[in-house]
Amino acid sequence: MKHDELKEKLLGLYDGPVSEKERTWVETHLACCEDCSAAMEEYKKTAAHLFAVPTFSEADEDIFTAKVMARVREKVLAPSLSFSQLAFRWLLPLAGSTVVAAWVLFSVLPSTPELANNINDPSFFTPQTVSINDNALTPVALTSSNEEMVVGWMRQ
Amino acid sequence: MNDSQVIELIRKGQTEAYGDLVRQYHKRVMGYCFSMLSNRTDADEAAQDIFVKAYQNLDKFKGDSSFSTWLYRITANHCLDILRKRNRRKNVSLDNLVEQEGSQVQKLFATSSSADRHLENAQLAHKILSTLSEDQRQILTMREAEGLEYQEIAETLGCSLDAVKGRLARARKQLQENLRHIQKSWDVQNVETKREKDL
Repeated sequence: MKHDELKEKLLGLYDGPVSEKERTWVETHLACCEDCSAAMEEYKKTAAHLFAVPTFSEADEDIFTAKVMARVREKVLAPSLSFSQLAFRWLLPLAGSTVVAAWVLFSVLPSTPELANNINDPSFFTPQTVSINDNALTPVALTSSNEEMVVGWMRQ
Repeated sequence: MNDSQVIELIRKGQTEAYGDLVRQYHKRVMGYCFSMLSNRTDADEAAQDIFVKAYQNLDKFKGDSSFSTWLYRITANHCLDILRKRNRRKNVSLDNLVEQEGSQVQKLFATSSSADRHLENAQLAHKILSTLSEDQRQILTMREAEGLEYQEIAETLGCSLDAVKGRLARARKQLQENLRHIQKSWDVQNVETKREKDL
């Protein structure tokens, strides 16, 4: 392998998986080639500066573990809690309203005479057009007797 | 007790055993999150989310790979999602970085060792790494910050060993080119400032 070729692949050959023969060759070359060994040293220095990892004390470790475990415990308890919450908040009221609705539909309605007769008539369920009485929308003028009545209410 | 045995206990209902796994992998997950997100608060929050997510998905862990690889895959994907969301809002260009932080970049590399790196430097390093694509940053973090072996990276990312070699080489080349560009632009700026002063 030529010098330029080696320089290009230097780091890969130095720290990558290589055969024993290749490693010996690289190490021999580095020992006698100033250019390559300087490039290697420069890269190592750069990496040491850029990828320095802070140190963590045992106390850091304990605090961190405690935080994680608190969150894990929450997750462990969460499913049973949410099921009971779900049961109390939604399932029970839903079941209760279903029972009441069924009781009204099957017991109360058929025993009402008017409904009991009409319920068998198909036209009972067809929607009917509703006409709005125009007079119903016009404001009612207050008569003197009405005014007196309103004033009476206000006084009371 | 190994990871599989601990997982077995958790599956049987001993939730508290999960604390052992959290403690065991806290440094690795947190370290990766910090390297990717460059902010301790964000990294802490992300790491917590990752462990909770891993717990919730423990049933899906079939044991085809080691637990650490599986956890690492969740970590890598989670951080990548956060970075993508961030980058949608803000994209750091090389020229902007030189303009705004040129002198600081010089200072960053002037410090003698990584132990000297302060919070300010961490933010600057983050900005420099932000000039890379998310994928390049991810693979570089796995190798350089976490020291994962090529095989582990391949398993975590679900790609071949050759793909890891190629991607890592390209990412390193890109990082060196970006740094050279920053250095060069900063030198030009320095010369111009000096010339203006002389005049």
